[in-house]
Amino acid sequence: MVDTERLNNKPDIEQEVVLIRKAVDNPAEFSPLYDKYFKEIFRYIFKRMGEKELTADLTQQVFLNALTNLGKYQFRGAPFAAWLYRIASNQCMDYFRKNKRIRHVLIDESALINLVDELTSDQTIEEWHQRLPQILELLTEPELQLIELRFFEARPFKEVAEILDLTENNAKVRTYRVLDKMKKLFVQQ
Amino acid sequence: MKQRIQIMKQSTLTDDEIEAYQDFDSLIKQAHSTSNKWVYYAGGAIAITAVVVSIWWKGQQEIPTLSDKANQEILPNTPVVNKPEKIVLADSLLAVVPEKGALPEKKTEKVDDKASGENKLKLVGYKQAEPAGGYERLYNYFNQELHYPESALRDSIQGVVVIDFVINIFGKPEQIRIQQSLDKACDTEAIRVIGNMEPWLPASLNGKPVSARVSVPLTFQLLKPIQE
Repeated sequence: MVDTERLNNKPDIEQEVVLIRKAVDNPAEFSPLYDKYFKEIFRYIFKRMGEKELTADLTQQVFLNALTNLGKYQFRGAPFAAWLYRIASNQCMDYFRKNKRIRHVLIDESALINLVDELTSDQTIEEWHQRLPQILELLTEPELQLIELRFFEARPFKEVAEILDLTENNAKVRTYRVLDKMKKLFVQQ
Repeated sequence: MKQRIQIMKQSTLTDDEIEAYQDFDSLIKQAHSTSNKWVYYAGGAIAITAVVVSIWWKGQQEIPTLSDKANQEILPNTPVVNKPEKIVLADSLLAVVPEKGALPEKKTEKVDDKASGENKLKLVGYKQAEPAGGYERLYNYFNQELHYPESALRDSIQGVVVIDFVINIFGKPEQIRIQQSLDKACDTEAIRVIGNMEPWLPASLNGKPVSARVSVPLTFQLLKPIQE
């Protein structure tokens, strides 16, 4: 389920670090990173905003923030994408805070299966599928982010941790706590 | 915050649709306009600073002569000097361990400081603090004592801890503080190693010992596995 290659492809990561160093002095060198990650970041934001035009504006803003703050980027072993996702996540939260908009959670049906598999293996599968949207609505924002990143976007814990500024172990512990909470909500309702 | 959960059959966005919004040229233009703003802000700040410094300069009748050697801050409240000078010192040490090695073999090495020799201030009669056994001995000490924290290894944390401390008139490090944090374990390790250093030769002004603040960047960096 989890795309472990994303983190393990070291030559790619090293190449990115070289590009980032060059882009600090010459912003035109940022182009390959922009091309590589634009679609990913666009989809990430679209799942939370649900509107294309708004998503396009916010995505451009994410890359602008990244480009103007490249000098502050510190390589900590995770790919550059994790840093972009963190900026995107903060950008979305800022937008919701300032505009008091409804937060969207768009889920591919296939991604939902990952989560339900983690939650149950018995005859309640069908019921889980039906009631999951209501249960997700009861989660807090940080809890929802963990579920989205881990199960709907199939990220390794290391990357989840990097995006949410947690340790890898802490990301695991918190994710399993959220799953426990969801199971309790399922029984209670 | 209200949430709207919507289950989709499949992604509603195609690559072509997203590419239509991709515009790197516009990003570069925006970046330039943003950086230009900072140039204006920086220009304004420099102008204000220049005015403040010139006013301060006029008020200083007993200002010590500046030269180009001293690279540490003389602390205020010492019996000799009334005004602190700028911190410039930066000897960088690199803590490196293999990413997957059985032993976190570690070496430290000195990294050249581009700023050294440039724009540094020196007071006549001022002698900066230095390790009693010399810098070579200090680096050997870091080689032996600076350990890569296990939690940082596990999470592949790499980067720089900038730590500063005061070498007091008895040559002991005190007021150790983290200027730039990396992560808790690395910060703690840096503080431990600095705290356990051998006494230094304190800085002196006209032969009298004075306290001086010293700043040291420590780089924690994982090496690639040897088999790769």
